[in-house]
Amino acid sequence: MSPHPPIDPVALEADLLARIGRGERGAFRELYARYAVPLFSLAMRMVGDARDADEALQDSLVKVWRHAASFDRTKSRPFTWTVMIVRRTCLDLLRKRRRIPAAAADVALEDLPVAETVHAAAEASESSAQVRTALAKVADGPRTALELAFFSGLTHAEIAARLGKPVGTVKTWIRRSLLDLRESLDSSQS
Amino acid sequence: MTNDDHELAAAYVLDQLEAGERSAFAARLAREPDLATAVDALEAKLAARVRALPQHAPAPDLLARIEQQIPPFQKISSPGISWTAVARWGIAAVIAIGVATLAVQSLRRPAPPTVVVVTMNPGGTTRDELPGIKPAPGTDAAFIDLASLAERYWRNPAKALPAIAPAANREAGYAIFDPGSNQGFVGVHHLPAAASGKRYCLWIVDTQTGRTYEAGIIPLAAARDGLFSFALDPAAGALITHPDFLVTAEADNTTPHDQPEGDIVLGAKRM
Repeated sequence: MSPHPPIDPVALEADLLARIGRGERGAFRELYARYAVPLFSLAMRMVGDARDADEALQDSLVKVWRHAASFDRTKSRPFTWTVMIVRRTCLDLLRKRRRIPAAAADVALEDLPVAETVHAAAEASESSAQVRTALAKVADGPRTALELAFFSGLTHAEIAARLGKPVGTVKTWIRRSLLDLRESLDSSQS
Repeated sequence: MTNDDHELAAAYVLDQLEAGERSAFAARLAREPDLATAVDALEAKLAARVRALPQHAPAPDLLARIEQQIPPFQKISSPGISWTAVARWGIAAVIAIGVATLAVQSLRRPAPPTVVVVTMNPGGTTRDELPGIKPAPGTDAAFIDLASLAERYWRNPAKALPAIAPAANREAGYAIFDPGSNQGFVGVHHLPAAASGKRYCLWIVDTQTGRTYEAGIIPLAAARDGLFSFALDPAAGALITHPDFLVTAEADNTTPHDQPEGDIVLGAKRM
């Protein structure tokens, strides 16, 4: 017997979205099982409150159901697509509540407690730890710029004003922080 | 790739581009494989960053709450029609997503009849018209009206249409059909799981001409109840004002069926 070819999770999840776009509830439940924890964790990170995170995630996943048919796998990965829906929903919620998004620079990554959840023990995997370690290695300026851009939804100009740096520097920092994260991860995994 | 491309790629992945910039950049991905590869690599790292966040599990009932907000129906897949993926709401605020392959509006026909409801039981059907219910003109608007009706009937069939409600606790089904737009909904209750190698198909019979059309495969999977939307191929060009319906168990293969060949599960075949 020949070995079963490895399943590409990205392709599998893209197929799930296509099936959700055709109205398949089973596919939606499967996607929920895969994404609920990381997406809720993202919502918690952005809005800082369990009730608001619940509302944001609920709204986001209803949007996933409604718009799954429009997902284009040539333009984005499935997980990234859903992450962006959650992110925008969280930012809208924060604006509605007239709350300022949590400034990432106020909270060091290493200081964030690992939540005691069903998944925390099992999912606090070596790869997650590697990412946290790799991120810590990225210089503070670029890392802060990335955090402010993504989790706080600030524009380049707003980040530049907050950090007291030129806009061009902020743009370069954001790009470099993503690249540095990749390089750091690659070296830690080799 | 230029430095500007690298910065644009990062901005794209972080959702920091304006709508026009984003569209233009996305269009480049199809033409520039190196750019697409770079974006994919950045997305992978962003995903890793998100997954490395402290983990929190959502409330156990969140999925159930979400499912209450999404429509109860699924779309029948018809092997004879190339569907563009469509998901449409049938209630209140309309959100039309995608475009169906149907183009029924171009058909010229006399004033459309009222909506027809057919109840299917093992061995027979009961047909009725819904007086005073005329879906709005246009395929999408009619779909919305039909969806509202279908959902209302699905949630409480005995109350919505007491005269022809399906018998309780027996396998039964009903079809709500709009001849004006050639689309409708079918609900099935207590249907046993299809035998291995079989799948349920919905058929529409034009009782005036005797012609039978396949509406499609009912994607029940392991469930025994379900509400599904269907539509006829506009190429058929038919105006079916006196439809009958039946559900059969057909062989599970990819070849479209011209006529029902399997056992009849709901309804009856007219001679």
